[in-house]
Amino acid sequence: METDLRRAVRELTERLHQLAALELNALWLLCDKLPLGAEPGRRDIFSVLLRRSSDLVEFDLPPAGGRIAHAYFLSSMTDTQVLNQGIVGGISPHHPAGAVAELHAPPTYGDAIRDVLSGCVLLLVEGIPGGLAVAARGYPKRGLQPPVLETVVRGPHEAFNEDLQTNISLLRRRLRDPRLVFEPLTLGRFSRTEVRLGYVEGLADPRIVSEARRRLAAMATTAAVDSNYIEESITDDPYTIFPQIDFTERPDVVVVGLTEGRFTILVDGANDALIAPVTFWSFMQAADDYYQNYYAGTFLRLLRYAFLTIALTMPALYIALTTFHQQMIPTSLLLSLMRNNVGVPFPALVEALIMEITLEILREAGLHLPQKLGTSLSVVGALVIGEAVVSSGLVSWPVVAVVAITAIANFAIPRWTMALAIRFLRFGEMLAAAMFGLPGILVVTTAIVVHLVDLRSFGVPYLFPVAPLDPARLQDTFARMPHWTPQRRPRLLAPAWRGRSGRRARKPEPTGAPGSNPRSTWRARA
Amino acid sequence: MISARMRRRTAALAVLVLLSLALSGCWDRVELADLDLVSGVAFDAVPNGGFRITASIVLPQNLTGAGGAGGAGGGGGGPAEAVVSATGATIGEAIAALGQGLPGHIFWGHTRVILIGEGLARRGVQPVLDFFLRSPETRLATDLLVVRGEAGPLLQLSPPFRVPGTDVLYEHLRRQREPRAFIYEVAQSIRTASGATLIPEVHVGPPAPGGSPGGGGSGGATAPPTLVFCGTGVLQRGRLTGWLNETQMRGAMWLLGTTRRATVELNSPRGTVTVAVDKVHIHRRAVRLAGGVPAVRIRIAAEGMVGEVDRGKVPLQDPQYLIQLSNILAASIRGEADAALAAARSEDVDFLQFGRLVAADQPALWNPVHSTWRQIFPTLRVVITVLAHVRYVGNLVRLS
Repeated sequence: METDLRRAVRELTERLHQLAALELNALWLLCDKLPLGAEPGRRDIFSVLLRRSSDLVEFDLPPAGGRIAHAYFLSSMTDTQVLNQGIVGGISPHHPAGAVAELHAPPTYGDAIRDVLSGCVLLLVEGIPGGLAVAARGYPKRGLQPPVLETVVRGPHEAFNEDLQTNISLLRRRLRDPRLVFEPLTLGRFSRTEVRLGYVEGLADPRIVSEARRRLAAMATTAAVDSNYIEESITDDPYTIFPQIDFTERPDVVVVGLTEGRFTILVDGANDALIAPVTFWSFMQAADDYYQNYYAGTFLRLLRYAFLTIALTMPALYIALTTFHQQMIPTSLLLSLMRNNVGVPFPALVEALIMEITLEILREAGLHLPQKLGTSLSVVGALVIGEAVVSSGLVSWPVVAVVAITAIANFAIPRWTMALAIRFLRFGEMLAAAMFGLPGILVVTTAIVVHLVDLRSFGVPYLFPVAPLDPARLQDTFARMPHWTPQRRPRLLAPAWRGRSGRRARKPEPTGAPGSNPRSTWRARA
Repeated sequence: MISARMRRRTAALAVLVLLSLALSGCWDRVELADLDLVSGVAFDAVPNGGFRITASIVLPQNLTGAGGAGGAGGGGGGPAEAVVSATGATIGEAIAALGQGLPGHIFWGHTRVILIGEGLARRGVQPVLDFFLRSPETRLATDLLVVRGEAGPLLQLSPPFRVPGTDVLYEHLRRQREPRAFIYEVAQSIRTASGATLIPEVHVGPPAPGGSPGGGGSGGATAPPTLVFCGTGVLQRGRLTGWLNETQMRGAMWLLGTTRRATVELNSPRGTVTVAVDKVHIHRRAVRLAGGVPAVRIRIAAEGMVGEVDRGKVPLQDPQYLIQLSNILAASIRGEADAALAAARSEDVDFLQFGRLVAADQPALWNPVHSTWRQIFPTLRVVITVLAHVRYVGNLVRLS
């Protein structure tokens, strides 16, 4: 059996350049099956299979103990310093071989090749079956930088970068508990991306974790180049516009999520972490809330819900009120609107759409523009277009104001994915308002709420604890409670969890001589 | 098991249903540019039983305001409102005739005042009320006013203070102390036990002497005529039956319990003092006398402060004098109330809503008398008690 396999692999390898796609795939499958033995021809197989990678380095180590060792590694993926000191030096008679970090023996040809591709140095010793993969990974990576999307005034300014090991160390540093585990996974048929499923044992609901494990195992992708490739494949409802998994570039946010019983997914090459299960409300919480006075945090959080409402409905309300329900506008405001509307040829919906789409153009262009041109774009966008659109009679000033306020309110939603959903749904609201007025807005908003109630994130209702209502756990939904209040874990996340996490340091008892206590003095006198 | 084809059909059907929803929309949409906003409207009677409607319509292109488009600050040009007029055999016909001369949708949603000419008011205001109560655009709390003489010309005057011009009327009603009559209240009064109500009156007075013409320096122009509010009209079952002068009107408001504030000029033996009454509590109740006869008891409690001292050396620091002043205040209020009661009795119109009071407080008494209320009303016993205090004299005890 093994002999057949070996012969097949060798034959295919010899004709490598003439192989058809199907045969090529077959070759890789066979490699995965073929155990790495001590057979004499194995060097040829490696040489041929890896030859087309120009960064492959192949060399022989000086004979030790009478045996010749062959080493393979990719110069692009290997830290040459580790290589020189640890391997070349380590195998010499003066140093024991075990001084290097990570060693393992790949069982098959396929594993051995993937080890080389992931930055290991593969050692094959003549006449000894199997090989030795020595981790000497070294590749360029970005240093730690402040977060781009989730900035805070006060609080840590560290963000994840694209390196998995860095990201894990950022989390470990903040959560030094042996119960924090990172389960390794490899995803992506071609990319073989390293993924970690992280959670705190004892806090996370094991059913949710195993469900996450199951979904991760069941998903299939060619290349998981970013966390969203995984996010989209494991959500509960594949068709919704609302985010069902949160992403963050802040390690502190992940740590809080982990201590609340959520799990996180780290993807090598993605500069953010996924957090789930999440609810609608968590998308309205900014890291900043927890780093400043809780009155301010609560106030800002409540304001944010107002911004959300504005971002979703304000243009729609403008359209509905000015075309259907003029009675509802105060007289002096209506007169002002009418004055500004003189000479504008379009219906309110078209006006609003012109302005909205102009703004979308600006946003989209601003995203794709080289950074150095950003300022000129904002000048053109904010000043020139705004002024020109009104002066040329395309759009009236009130519409410009409404759309501008809406756009700013949209930016105030702390999570990008939620802001994107709201931005999209706004157009639905506008169309409904243009057709049916306020009843249209009501129906569309109701439909959105019904949809939200229907959504789940890893089995947790999206609107929990509002629907289903759990008054005791509302405390962190609309208000930001002080850190010293006893916090209850979201029940659906961690049913096993009991106890309090918050406690406030009491004011110290007044100390002093017994006689200085006013009460005792009084008693003595009496 | 639903086949793929079935599913495709269901999806297509859903799309069709959703699209057909769109067809039902938009029909009642009116763009701002198509709005002919009526800021005020006046109705007059024409001899053959028809109506003449006069409406002032806002011209948005002539409105000026802060932050106008492209700095159109002062160069507005024409007047901010146009006054148009039409006649018809019914209100609907008159409005249709009015609409022929207008480009857009006649919009009643922001009409703030409805003026009724004296002639039409005497004929009956029901047709006007009927139209506006049925119209979905009008607010039920739109002010109704009656104009001595023709109502239409009053809209032609545009006071220079505000746009729209009817704002002057509206704001006056909102701030001043006359009774207001909302269209729904007038409509209700027709059906109530008393069947009468009061309606504010306005007419065009002579130009204020020495008044300067408003706005843009057209030197030498005559001062505009002023609007005069004095007294009120009495509607009996929707028809104007008479007028109350200012004293009677104030008395009616004391008796109706609608007074909130009042300024009363008192002639005391030591000088003239104006008292600002700012705390009023009025209690109205119908009681049953022996023999099953209804009677009305009204208690008025008023507190005021010294607003100004006009003549004489008034010893405001003397408590005895304040008691005297309080008694004079009570007598003054009482005199106004008596005047109103006398007017109601002599005209035999229950605008003081005693019938309503009896019906509410003594329903057992009301049922036998409601058909003969007109006969009972003039002899109805009304007990008025007035309790007045002048409490605050201010820090300015002595000026001279």
